[in-house]
Amino acid sequence: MTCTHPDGDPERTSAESLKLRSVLYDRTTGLPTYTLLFDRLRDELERRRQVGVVHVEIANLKMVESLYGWQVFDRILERLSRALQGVIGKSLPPETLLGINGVAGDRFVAFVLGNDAGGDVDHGYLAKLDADLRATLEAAVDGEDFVGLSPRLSFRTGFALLSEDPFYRFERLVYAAVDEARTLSATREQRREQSWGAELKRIIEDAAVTTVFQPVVDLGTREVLGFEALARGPKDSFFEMPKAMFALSLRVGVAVDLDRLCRDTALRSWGRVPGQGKVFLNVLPGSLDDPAWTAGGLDAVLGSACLKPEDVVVEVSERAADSETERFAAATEKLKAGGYGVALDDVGTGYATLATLERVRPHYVKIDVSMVRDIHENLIKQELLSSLVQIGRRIGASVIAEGVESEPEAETLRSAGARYAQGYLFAVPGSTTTARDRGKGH
Amino acid sequence: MTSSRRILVVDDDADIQSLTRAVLERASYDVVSASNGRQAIEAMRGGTFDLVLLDVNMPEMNGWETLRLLRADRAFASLPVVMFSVKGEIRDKVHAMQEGAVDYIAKPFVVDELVARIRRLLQPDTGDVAARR
Repeated sequence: MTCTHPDGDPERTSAESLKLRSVLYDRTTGLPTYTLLFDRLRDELERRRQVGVVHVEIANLKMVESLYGWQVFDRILERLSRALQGVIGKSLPPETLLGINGVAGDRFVAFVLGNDAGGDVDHGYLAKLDADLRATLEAAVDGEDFVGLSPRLSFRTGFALLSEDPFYRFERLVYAAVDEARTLSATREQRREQSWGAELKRIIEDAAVTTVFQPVVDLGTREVLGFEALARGPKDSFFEMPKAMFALSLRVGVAVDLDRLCRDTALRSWGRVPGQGKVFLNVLPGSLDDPAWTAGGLDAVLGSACLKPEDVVVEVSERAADSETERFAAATEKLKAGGYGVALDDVGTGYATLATLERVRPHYVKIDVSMVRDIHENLIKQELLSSLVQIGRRIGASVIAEGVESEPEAETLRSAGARYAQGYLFAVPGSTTTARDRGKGH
Repeated sequence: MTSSRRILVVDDDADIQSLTRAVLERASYDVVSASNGRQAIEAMRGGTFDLVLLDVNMPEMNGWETLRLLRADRAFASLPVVMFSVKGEIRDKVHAMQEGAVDYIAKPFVVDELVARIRRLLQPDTGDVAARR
């Protein structure tokens, strides 16, 4: 049995009761915060002496939200909540209470009151259920499109047995059991991450990254301004998508090395084909101080690719720009003085303020895909875009929209004043030659 | 004109309230005003609205709090809410999206633009406005 948002009573509710409801139920998933299940749980525990606690969350929780943004994250949570409710009576026994760790929370708790036959739960039963549940949930969301989310979404689960103990206050017993279940799932994830870290270090030693290029296209003329160099890890591995690779590199402490490797690989691949337009190179904010990226260090490697500083645009995420505006502005200032172009990446995710944009004064403002997706149907996104276009005009920056997938999106962007775009609508990222050919085709 | 659509304007500034009312009434909308979130929720309990124009900075219960409460109630969950604010920062707009508003209008606003945007949201042929969130 699930416990979800009760049916709205016909009588409209007062501000006070709305306030209560808003702190007891999560809007995204419709689930109650699990403290709301305490009364029922107390009765059950008195009757059964022990109850199972299964903890479910998205693996690499924070990384997924920081990489894909809160909108995608909300959708994943909503989907996971539906999947969990859907397996009650299947992978989870019928007598299960489902809750979330808080309003706008990110972790689920299932209280398993009895086994499939209504009998008591024990450790062995929970262990089997836990393994089965994780596989079922991953299968349930497999094939769903969460905006290019890769690698496949995975979940982590853990369990604990909640046993009656009159020496402790009931609520604290519940919290402790939930913590225990979560600790178990965290330990498992840590082990997985350690092996990933070792793999990433090997990738860097073996220089096993490749570069694909995606054209940046003028929205009006469809001419190609240049190409963004995108790093790819070994095919079919966890690291194939650069976001996963870079996020892990930061945690393992090899980000600067990975950044250099990707840049040098990009320039080498670019050099193989006679240059056409600008090359957009990504750099992690933490690498801006790396001598390899200061204008001098970058100059040294340009020759091999037959590039001049003015052919190169260095892209830095706005996510760091706001917390360290001054350091950031100083580093980009050096690049600009060396003749390089500077692009502020991921703009519109809510990190940078208009003041930061004014301070950094990049040549290009790259609008994040979360702002672009379905912009033709979303007035707030249009509003945000037009303020970014306006400020772009004021500081002399051109707007580049990322991840454009449809004509209506392109048209809305163009008429709002975005000059350039990239995305599947124009070309998928490809090897140098194919990307260029595709670009020319438009 | 078919039966006119009802808009609830929530703003603590009496001048903005009356200006908005005049503008929207001229555009043939039915307007009800409230001066803070609490009054707004009271007004909504008593009547049906097609759209809410909600100021962010208000005493007693501000716009964000009010929006969150509206979204907590199924009866109001899909009601289009347009945030109204002097801030106009990127973060503020992202916040509006996160909390489930359908549009964000920065103050001071251009009268024609306000009407055009509200008209667009209330156009009968655009279907479910709430789906745009």
